[in-house]
Amino acid sequence: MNISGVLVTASPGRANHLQQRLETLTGVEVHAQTPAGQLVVTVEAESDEQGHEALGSLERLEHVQCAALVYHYRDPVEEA
Amino acid sequence: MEQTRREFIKTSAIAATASAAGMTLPGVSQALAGSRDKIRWDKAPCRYCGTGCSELVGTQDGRVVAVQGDPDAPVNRGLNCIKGYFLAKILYGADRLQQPLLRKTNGRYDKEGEFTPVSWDEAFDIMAEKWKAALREKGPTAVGMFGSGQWTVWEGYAAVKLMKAGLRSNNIDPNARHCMASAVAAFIRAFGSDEPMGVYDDLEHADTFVLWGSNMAEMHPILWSRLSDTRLTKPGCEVMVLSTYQHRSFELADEGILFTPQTDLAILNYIANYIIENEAYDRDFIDKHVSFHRTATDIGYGLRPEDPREQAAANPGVGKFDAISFEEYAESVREYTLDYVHALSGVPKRQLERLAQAYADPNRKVMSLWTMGMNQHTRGSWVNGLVYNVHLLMGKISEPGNGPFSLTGQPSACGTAREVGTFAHRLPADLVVMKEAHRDFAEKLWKLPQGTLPGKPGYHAVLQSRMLNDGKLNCYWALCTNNMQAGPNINDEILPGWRKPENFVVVSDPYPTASAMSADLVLPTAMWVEKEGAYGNAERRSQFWRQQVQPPGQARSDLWQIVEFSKRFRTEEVWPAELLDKAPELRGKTLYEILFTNGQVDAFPKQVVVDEAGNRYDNDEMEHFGFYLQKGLYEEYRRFSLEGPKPGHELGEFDHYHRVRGLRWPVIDGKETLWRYREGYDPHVPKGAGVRFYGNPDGRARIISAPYEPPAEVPDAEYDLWLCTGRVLEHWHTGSMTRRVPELHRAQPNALLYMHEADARKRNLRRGMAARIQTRRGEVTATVETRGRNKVPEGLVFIAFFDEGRLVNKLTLDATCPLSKETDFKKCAAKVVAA
Repeated sequence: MNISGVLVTASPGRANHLQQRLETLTGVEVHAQTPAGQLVVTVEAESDEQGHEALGSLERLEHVQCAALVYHYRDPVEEA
Repeated sequence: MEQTRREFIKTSAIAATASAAGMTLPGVSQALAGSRDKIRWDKAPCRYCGTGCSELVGTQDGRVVAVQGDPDAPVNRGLNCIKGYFLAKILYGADRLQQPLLRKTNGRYDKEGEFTPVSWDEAFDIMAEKWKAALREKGPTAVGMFGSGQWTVWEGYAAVKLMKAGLRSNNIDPNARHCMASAVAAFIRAFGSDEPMGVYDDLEHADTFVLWGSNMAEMHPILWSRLSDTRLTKPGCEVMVLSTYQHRSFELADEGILFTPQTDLAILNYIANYIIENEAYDRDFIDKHVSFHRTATDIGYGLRPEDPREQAAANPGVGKFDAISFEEYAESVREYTLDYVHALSGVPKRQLERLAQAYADPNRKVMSLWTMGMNQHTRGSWVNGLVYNVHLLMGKISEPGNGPFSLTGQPSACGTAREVGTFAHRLPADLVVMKEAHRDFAEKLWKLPQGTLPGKPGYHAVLQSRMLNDGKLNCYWALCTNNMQAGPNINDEILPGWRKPENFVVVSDPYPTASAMSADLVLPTAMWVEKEGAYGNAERRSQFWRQQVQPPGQARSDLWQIVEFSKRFRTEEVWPAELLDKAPELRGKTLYEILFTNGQVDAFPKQVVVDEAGNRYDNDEMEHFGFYLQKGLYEEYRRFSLEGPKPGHELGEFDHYHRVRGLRWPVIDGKETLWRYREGYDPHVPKGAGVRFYGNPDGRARIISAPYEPPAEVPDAEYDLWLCTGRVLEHWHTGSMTRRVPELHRAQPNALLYMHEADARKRNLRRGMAARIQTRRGEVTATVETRGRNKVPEGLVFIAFFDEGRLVNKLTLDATCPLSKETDFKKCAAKVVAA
């Protein structure tokens, strides 16, 4: 189990557009949007690799001004 | 309601993230309140960069399982950058070193042997044997230590004591030499006191932000998000970004300014000239608070003395500056006209003028920010100083929103390397070994006889590599750093020195880095929250943490290693008889006894470490040595700031820091200081003075005139491209902590060679093809990238140094700023051919 809570800041005026885009990504859920255009996002992954990939691609999406990691949990039991 | 573990963790993630955005989501907090959270949370600063974000570290069953941005931290306000993703993982890489490894053949040490597990005793035995032999044969200059801006404060302090006082060698230098030395030199030259006058709060107060050689968007993302918030919410706020190539920070820039490498010197002098010609300067401020000087010129490039470029220099390494008048200063920048600087730098005139106007407008608050672009520069000390000149001419300094701000790359480059003074020429609290009064003070505080500390600066980082290579430095201990990847000119200087038969090289690290694999003895190190620690960030904020978990196997902290090693030496083995005659009571004692059980460091007995909630924590060093070692070291160190000859560095009490999210020094009566040198903020400034630069005896800051001078190596017909090296967002420095997940090595693209499409085409290269990058020193192969996050102009290529499969520093030249001795990793000449 590998779960991250990420606060994604959209470019001005692009929050709705970005939210739709994010919701198409595997393991990614958008839970709320602030009036300032910030999205409360979780990323669920099955491995460190997958989680890192997902965060990296979040960062690089168009209209993402900033993706800040707020919370990260990784289950040590599943470690190789 | 019954929740699964996954649901619970996810709800926690949502709650924390919403809360960081200032939101409470209905139902979420109830869901959390109803569950039994078995994770123990405690604060610790992040392990990576110099921003100093505070984290909450979640521990369960003796393992770190979760990390969250600390909502109570003034620096990061609950946020982390994506490097934070590795914090929960860095302790648990599959290749973690767990026991000392010595190169052996047939059971005996052999420089060409295989790494073989040994006990700590055997490891220290061979180290002591080698160290003593070198000391006997050649004296203290034959032993050396390479330390780190990632050391905890007490690790740095213990190392300085062992090296400078115990072994009487000033050959200790930190890797911070590679990143911060130019910033230090310029602070001392201009203000007589190291570190910024401003704080991160300036990020909310400025009207204009100017980035000089810094890609904050990728390297300091949390500070960048604060800056972005100001840019997007404050009317009239603007951002200007200067660089030699286009990077992520350009996306927010109102003015993205590309300049020819090295011409930042000329651009800054143009701004000064503009301010003077338009009579925009603050006459009153200058009259009261500034003095003018001119520095010696044609100072060489810090190369080996026999290098033709050093031979040709009129004043190699000379940092002397002479007093001049304001008029003479004005005359010295007069040649930096719009036409001349436009032609030299390639920057459009419109951009140059807009930049100068922002500084010259008395109604705009300007914050200048920079990192390695200015520090890793053969005129780094000068160019840092030229930024101060511009701010001082306008009086835009030491007040909210107005200030030059030097950012740092390591978590304790400030707190440990600079404040403790782990440099070859420094002592704690801005004292230096060259001054007798400073040595006297340190000797007295340390209860050592006068004359213990040597007065000649030791070998700095680059010189250590050269001296190992020349066989003059023979015993070398590198801790908490990876110089075989991060240091310059690996092929010609570093590797040959480390592998020289008569040298013995020890590396302490948690992981088998390029450095560890090039050593003779490898010592496994406890890292980050496996020990109690303290870091100091770029805004003078000292932050403490408790030990959260046990290190694996036989790994021990660098602190434990340094203090334990000191037990192997008796004073008469390392000190001359004349010195011992002055203090016969020290005869027969070990360095451990005279340095660490001196009645001060061991003054705090063993105790239970407990937080406000009653949680108990381990402290392995206290358990082993039998007293509160960290507290004793810190409280002794703190006396340098309270009783030393250079006021203005006062630190608070040990226990206070464990309770708060850091304090920014000077800390006086338990209160931190925001803007230094400014009345009302800094208690050292007397009433009515307004401003006082009290680091200098006359209370004035120095404007020091320095010209444009060309770099050490420029592209020519054969090596026809500029090569610039640097970092990327996802990986921190040499990647030893962010590249530990084996599968990531496959998934993550390796370091790319960023190149202009036209340059690629000329060489019959296309995006995705392999290319060989060659310099006069070496060759590296990488994949060509003509798009992506970095857009380089024609004539320049960029490659990051995180990838240990591509040792980029085989390519770089070990030219330094001749004053700060910091390497210029940002410019040398290269050619690129198809692989």
